[in-house]
Amino acid sequence: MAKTLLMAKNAAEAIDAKIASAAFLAGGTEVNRLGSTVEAETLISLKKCEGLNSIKKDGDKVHIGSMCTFQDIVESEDVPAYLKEAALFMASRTKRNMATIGGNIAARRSDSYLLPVLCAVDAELSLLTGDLEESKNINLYINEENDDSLITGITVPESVQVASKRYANTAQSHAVITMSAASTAECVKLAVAVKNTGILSFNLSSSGRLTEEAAVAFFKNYEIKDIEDDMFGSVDYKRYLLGITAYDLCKQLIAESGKEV
Amino acid sequence: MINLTINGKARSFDVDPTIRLRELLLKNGNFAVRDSDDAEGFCGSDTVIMDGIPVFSNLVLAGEADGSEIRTPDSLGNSVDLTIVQQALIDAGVVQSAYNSPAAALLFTWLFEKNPNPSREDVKDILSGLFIRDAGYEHYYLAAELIKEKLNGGEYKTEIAPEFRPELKSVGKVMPKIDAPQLVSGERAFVEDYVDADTCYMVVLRSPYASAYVSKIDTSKAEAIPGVVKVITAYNCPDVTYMSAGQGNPEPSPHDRKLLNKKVRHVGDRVAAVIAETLEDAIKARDLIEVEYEPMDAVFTVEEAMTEGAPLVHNGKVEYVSGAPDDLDDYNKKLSGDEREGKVVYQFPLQGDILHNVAAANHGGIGDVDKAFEEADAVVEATYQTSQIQHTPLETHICYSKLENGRLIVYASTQVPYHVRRIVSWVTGLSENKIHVIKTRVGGGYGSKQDILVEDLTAYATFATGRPVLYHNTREEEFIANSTRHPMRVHVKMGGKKDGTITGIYMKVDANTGPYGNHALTVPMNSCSKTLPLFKCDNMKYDLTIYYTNTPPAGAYQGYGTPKGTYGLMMAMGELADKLGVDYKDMVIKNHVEEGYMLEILKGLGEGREGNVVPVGSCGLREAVEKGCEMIEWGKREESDDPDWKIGKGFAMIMQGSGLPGLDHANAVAKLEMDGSIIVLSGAADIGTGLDTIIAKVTSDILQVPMDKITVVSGDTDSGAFDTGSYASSGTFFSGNAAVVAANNLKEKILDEAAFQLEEDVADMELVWPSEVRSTKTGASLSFYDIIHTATSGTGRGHLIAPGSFTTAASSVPYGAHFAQVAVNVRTGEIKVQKFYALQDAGTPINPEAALCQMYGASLKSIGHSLYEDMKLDKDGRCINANMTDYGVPMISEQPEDFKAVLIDVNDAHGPFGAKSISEIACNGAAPAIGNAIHDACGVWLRSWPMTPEKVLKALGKI
Repeated sequence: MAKTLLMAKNAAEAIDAKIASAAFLAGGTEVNRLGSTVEAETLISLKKCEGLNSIKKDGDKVHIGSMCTFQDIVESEDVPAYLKEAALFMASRTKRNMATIGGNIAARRSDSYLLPVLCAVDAELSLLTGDLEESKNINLYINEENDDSLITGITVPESVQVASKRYANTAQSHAVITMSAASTAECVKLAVAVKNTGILSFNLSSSGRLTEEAAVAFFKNYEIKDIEDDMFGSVDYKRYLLGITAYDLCKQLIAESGKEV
Repeated sequence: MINLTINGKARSFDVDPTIRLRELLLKNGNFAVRDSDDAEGFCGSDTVIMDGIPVFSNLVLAGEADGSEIRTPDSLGNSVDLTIVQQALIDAGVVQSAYNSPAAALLFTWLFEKNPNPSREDVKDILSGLFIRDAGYEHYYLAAELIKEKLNGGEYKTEIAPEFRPELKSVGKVMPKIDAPQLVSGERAFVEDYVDADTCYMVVLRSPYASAYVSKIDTSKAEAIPGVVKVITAYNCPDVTYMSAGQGNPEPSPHDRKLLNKKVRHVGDRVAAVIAETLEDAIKARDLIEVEYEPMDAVFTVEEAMTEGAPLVHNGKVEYVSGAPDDLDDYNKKLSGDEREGKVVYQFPLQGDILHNVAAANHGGIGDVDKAFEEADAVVEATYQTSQIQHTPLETHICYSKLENGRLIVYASTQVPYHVRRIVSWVTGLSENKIHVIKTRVGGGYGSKQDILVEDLTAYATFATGRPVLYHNTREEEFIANSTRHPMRVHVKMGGKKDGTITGIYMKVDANTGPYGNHALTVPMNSCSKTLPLFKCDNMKYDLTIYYTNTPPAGAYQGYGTPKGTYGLMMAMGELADKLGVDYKDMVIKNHVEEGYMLEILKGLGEGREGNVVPVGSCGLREAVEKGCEMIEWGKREESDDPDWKIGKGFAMIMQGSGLPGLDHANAVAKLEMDGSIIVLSGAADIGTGLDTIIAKVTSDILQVPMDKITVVSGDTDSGAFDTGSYASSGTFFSGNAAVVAANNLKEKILDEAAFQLEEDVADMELVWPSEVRSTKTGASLSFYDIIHTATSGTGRGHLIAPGSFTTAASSVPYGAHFAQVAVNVRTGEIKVQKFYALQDAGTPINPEAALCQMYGASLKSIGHSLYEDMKLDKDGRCINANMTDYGVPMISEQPEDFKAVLIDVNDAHGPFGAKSISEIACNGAAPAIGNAIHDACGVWLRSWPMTPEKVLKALGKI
């Protein structure tokens, strides 16, 4: 349990206060919950930071402040449907009222609600590190261990076609697999959160023809680090779901777009 | 300084800003903001409205809330001035054990303020963060309709529930549960609400090993902490061997527990207890206790426990209170005799054999099953495995005790206050008159509070220190240190003829009681005694063995062993029907019992003694089956638009009991008060199911007194007379009947006194609504006020008080049938319960709306047991999903879209006004109904709980 709480007024104040023994506190559903792995002497609350909770449309892009809650996303007219669908994977309305998009990304959970879809659409993160403001692809961000940067915003494309699927014991349980597929001009990008394993991404080119058998066979044999039997399911089950779901999502995209992969 | 506006009032707090908002609200007196999950953000008991948005207050730090407006459940109406929302929740029947009712009222209030005409989806959305275990969610949708109607037209238009017995004024009528206003408004109701400011706190040091001797324990560093009052270990507390099962006395369970242990038998077993001035000090001290363990090999399954040479869970010595075998001394010589093992004391022989980890056993049957199988056209044989399941009451186990004038006062959230008193008496050595148990309202029991799991140690701590002591389980402790549903291996062999006649049934049940034998015989026994009597079959045999293991303890759970036995039998019948090519419904119709059928099978199925062979009494089973088949369109094949999803239907017939004839006992005292109103002192333990309301209703109809002139005082061992408690579906039947007897006795006294005062013959006196006696001969009348006023004057004959005591040998058995329609995705294994219909014969439903809610609640809970819930242990016996999120309880998202509960109207000969039990039976049907439906959908038999997508895929050969 933290000893001190700092209520940052803005992002600059928050990043100034970020030392090794401090942690950012967004919606609280991760850091303040039972079993949280976040250990910090000081918590820097972002709740009252100005400018982190707006949603703006800019052409084909939508900029979402990192402190926007899941429910903000669900209710916004500007947020694309695919992201709303992923936000609704968090089944508890009360929790959606609290959990933030920035917090969910920064937690880098292997059962993340949003990372698969954000990775699949190559979301761009606006980061603040010291005085430095930068933009970074989320796929790069999640593989880094730098916790000193502050996510201030997320930019996602509006018109991309996306299909997602989540598997969990109950709606409130942690997911064993959450997968999203996004169709781009060049390929279909798959991103998947595998519980206790991590986030995996794949680019499927449009040169070949995907079959169910091929998809299942691919994931049956694909080398996945740290995938193990656990209380969420056997390795066989997880690999099978990966294959079948990859096929299904691609099929769904094909049906929607008329394209082939 | 933290400034908040709480319920419209500005407040300032000089507190650590890193404490939780809920803790701050408690300091402000908003105690209806409760905690069910230790800040997991799951159950929603801690919900408040913060700056206009519902949030979990345990996930908000106080400092984050600085400057905010907070609204809590106690800002709504109180028990004498309820809001429309609160009243609608009561009227819909959802305010049952009600730990989350204040939060539900708050969320509904918020919803209707935002949108006076919410859709079903809106209601589902707002309740998605609220865990409801008792009543399910279906009648919350009804409550929303009632609120809309009240807001729009001022009157309810929707029927809340069917009503029964038009000749009666209260019984069978939709009426508010009498404790509901207190519960929904968040007034003081639960143990935690009665704790004094000077309380000490107790925490328990628990074993990290599944089996080990405590070879050395050093508490000196813990005791050195200022604020620590006492550290209790097995070396400084009474060496009393008892058991935690709260049932009749003597109850069959072997006595094998102690307050604290020198040998620990499961991860989470008690090693030491710390009592300190503050919770923080207690936890800090617990961490400083140094323990040396001698770990030993352990067993976790019945298969391991029955292996020759397996580690022994109990290896001390065996004693018998009566019926000791002649070779007991020789038997004991084969055991280790280590003093740290303690002993196992049987009250009478239960065929236990601790040398083989057998806690108890029972074998019996009727007819000749071998011959029956030979004569059958087909025989099926399969094993069905059930999982370890936790009750997950919203209110975790809690006890508060204190001393007053040499007496122990014990505030308990219990189903069995008189057994709490007895066991506290055993461990303290105090006589029962020195112990006062006050059962508060109970925030969910489901059988787990039939065991005395925290009251023994808490009361002893007060006795040993002289200090008030509060103990409250964490959610993790609920999983690892409480009681759970016994995992069972149910092996069934069943034979049948081509015409669907079942020729013989054999059940072999191996149950896992965990490290202690509380309810060891009685719970598994129900897997046979509440299932086999459904069948009109002359050849039935059972072999029942209960094994000790080193898993977290098992114990009583709503339904006892019946859901497991029903799962095995109804699945096997499904398999047999399939093999014979007979329709499942035809087989059910051909083989189920009917009124008058003599149940010879019961002879061997008493609870530790010979059972009563009785004929089937009132029985609504056939009607439930026929009506349910009609509702679900049995025989019609449903097709999905998506070829991956296959749809199937299944059902199961079910039964239970209404208490234990010849074992249970209830008492009540009815008093005519000075203004003509009535107070009933009942020994009953209302655990939220509406038992107090049942007592009031039967009193109302017997004495012709309006409900608002009747108060029921119950669950208090000082003011009531003995009652065995709320378990085994006994409440309505036993405690209700005791109230009937008391009310009838008071009626006689009132009529006699009126005749005396009118100087007429008592035979000419009759009771007239409301609260009058009238002479049928002269027309003269006296009000109850007149009667008691004269009777208690200086020249009167005294206060009119009447006791009522109820025991019986009669059985009133509830029957029913549960139906499921499921969709199974044959590519992903996903299972959706599309429809679930629960049809039950509860005799006369005294509280019809509450009865329906209990059917919904128990059915949803059992859907959870069937599909999602499973305590998972690692190789060392540690529960790895001891939290709500990973354990997997069903919530509103899991509720079937088409969910119906139907009461079959049957008037029973023995129940109060024809009533039978309602709630427990509703746990029995889901697993076999769903299991048979899954087979109907995709052709696979899932023979173990939970029936998961992974198991579907394995059975289909996909993985």
